[in-house]
Amino acid sequence: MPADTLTKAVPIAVALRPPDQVMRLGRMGAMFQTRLSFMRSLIRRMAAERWTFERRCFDIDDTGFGVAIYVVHTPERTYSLIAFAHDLPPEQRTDRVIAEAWDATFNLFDGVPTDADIDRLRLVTPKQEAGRFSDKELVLARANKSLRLFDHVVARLADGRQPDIGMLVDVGYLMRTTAVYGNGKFGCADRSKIADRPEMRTAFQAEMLTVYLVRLFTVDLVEHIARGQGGAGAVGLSPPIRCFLGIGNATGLGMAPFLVSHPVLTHNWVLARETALARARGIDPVPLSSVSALRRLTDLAAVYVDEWVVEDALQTERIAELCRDIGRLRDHISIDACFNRPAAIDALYRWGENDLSVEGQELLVSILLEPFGDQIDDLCHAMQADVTDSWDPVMSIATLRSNLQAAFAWALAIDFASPQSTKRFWYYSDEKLEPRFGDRTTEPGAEHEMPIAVARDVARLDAALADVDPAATVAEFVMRNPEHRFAIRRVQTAARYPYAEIRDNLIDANCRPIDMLRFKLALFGAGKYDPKSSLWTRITLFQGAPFPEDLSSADADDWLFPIRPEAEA
Amino acid sequence: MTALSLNELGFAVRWAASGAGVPIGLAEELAQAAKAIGQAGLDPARVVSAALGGLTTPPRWGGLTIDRTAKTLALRACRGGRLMAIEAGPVLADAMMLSEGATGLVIQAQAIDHPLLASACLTANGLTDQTIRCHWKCVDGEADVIIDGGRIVEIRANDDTALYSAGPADLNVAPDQVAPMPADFVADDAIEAGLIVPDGSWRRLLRMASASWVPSNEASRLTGAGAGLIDTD
Repeated sequence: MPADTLTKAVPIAVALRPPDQVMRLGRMGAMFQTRLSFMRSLIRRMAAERWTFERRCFDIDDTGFGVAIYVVHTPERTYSLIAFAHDLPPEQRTDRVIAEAWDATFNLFDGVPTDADIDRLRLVTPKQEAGRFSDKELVLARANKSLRLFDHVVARLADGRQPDIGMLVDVGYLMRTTAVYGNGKFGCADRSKIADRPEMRTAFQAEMLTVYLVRLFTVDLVEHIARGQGGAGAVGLSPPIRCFLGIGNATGLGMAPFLVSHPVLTHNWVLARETALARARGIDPVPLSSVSALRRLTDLAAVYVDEWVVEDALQTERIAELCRDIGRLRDHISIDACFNRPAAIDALYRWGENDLSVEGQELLVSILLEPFGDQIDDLCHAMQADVTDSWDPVMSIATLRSNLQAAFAWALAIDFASPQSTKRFWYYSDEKLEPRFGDRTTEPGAEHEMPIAVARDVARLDAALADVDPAATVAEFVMRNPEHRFAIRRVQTAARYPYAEIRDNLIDANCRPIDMLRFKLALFGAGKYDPKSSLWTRITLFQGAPFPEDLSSADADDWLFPIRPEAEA
Repeated sequence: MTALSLNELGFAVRWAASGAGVPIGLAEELAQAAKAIGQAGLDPARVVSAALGGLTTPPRWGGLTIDRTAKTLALRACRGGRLMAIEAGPVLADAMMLSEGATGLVIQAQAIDHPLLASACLTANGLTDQTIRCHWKCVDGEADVIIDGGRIVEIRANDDTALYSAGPADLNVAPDQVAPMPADFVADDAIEAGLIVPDGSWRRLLRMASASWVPSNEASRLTGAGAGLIDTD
């Protein structure tokens, strides 16, 4: 992270929250979107740089099948979404990676596709993982219609009416992506091709742009089919309803290994977020406009959380607790004395640490960052990584051990002799390389586990170092013990990048991978987490985000808590 | 020929190595080396699959030793026999970092298999500030690889036989004071447009990688990813 990004002066210096507090699954699995999230920064860039959007082609028949092309012009480059809409039998509609057909398939194309490009992609994009792509394609994605909502919206619009608001709130999207692949998957362009472009430098911007354009497509598609059915009597979605519709996403285990295999990137994301929180806590005195904003956001959060209804019993309990938290927060900040004191934001955060659930604390973090864009938005530029990890063969074993014991004390406290501590393993299935979470005691394949068990491997390294000459170098040790090269690299990286490691045992019997998913999804900017098990969740992306024609409006960046639109009379 | 991204190549190499019993730390370095070979316009799948295919079963790791003199560090297998490039390459890179600043020092890898692969390992791990010349001589001929800025920037070999040799070769690695010739390889092209790899060697590498992927069954299908098979939304 550039030094000048981290040294912005604020009146009060507040320490960053320590990794032992932040990088625990229980907290990571309680995080929310913030204004630093990738979707938020993308939308701000679109607005600031006045990106323009055009629907270049919409060759979709009355039943909703065909191809559409959306072209985005940024100051220096052009990108295109190519959307193919298909007829999908209901029995083939599944969120799983192992699906083989979808309602719609997409590419984000670098530039404007030629007819030859469209013809080529028409053959391969519907195949998804079974197709081969080129360096012109930056992203490959697919989506399925929401069976609950899509047909309902078509029928209502065709009938000249707006959709039922209650159903909109229950679902929140017309289509749900089930995979959004970037970074060289299946022959697509490597991340390195676009990493130096200003608009793509922050992580996952190509993927987020793809989803944003898919959202435009879904709205156009539903209105197009409605017009086909309703003719002149059909209507379009009202602007508030359209804005409320996001894009769904089904997220499974694939996200979890990414976090472990990108330790420096993970560190930079968290460091930016924690630096933003420290800056916000350091603001003193609190401007009156910020006090109003914090109160308004808390009121919105109350409605947002009230509308957040899921089937999962645990998350339902947490939402109920969150509702109580927000009530306490509203009461607390309604008193002017809360802000008429020194270091009021810091005091408010510390009050939250004492009085709120972990999920309530993290919601408070999102609220506290929101009014202070001038102070923190520059941190978005640091949410990427030019290096992957650290390696120093010159380091002495004494230093290595010291670093290990400082950065991995949490791992050394785990009893890996206990079968519970090593019960699970992560692996790639040979079925479309779907990541899976196995039980070491009952399932085959543990010998092929992914390198996710960093805590166990570092504990093994610590044991192996016990009798090694402290003056020896890492190079000397690892030459004779190459099986520890991976763990040494993790130790050296964690010593330099303290937020690099998830400080929990990821192969423990009680590990809940969904906490890792939510952490990453919060960084994306997702909302309405709807856990379907401890291994996967549905979410909503870009709900409340402005459409292209609204990017220049004063409230274009105000969509932290999208709430139910008013029903039309 | 198959067009690949660097990411795809790295993934396949890492898992092919893992399937062959290579420790993950070495597998990761092998993946980086393979990318460097690909970026230089050579066939990374050919050399990686040959190196993995030549490993003993199970491989015996950690049997390396270094003999030091004033002007050389000689890396060899403890019990004689060939050095495995997959293991010796990262050790050579470490030795280069340890000896940084030692004028005139040559690091030798004696009787190494796949010297190209070992040389490519020198593109990683913080050696990006050095220009390094790797020279090897074996029954198949002689070759030079120049590394600069963390990339292979120049290759001199009479033909592919020496370049892709499985050894045994004596590989000499030393800092190079002479600026490399302008690169006419495809390093930048590989980032822009990916790699072009012969179908046969890519398929062979993928077959090796697939050994690391766990066969699916009905139970793992239902429980391993947590989701239902049919969407009810």
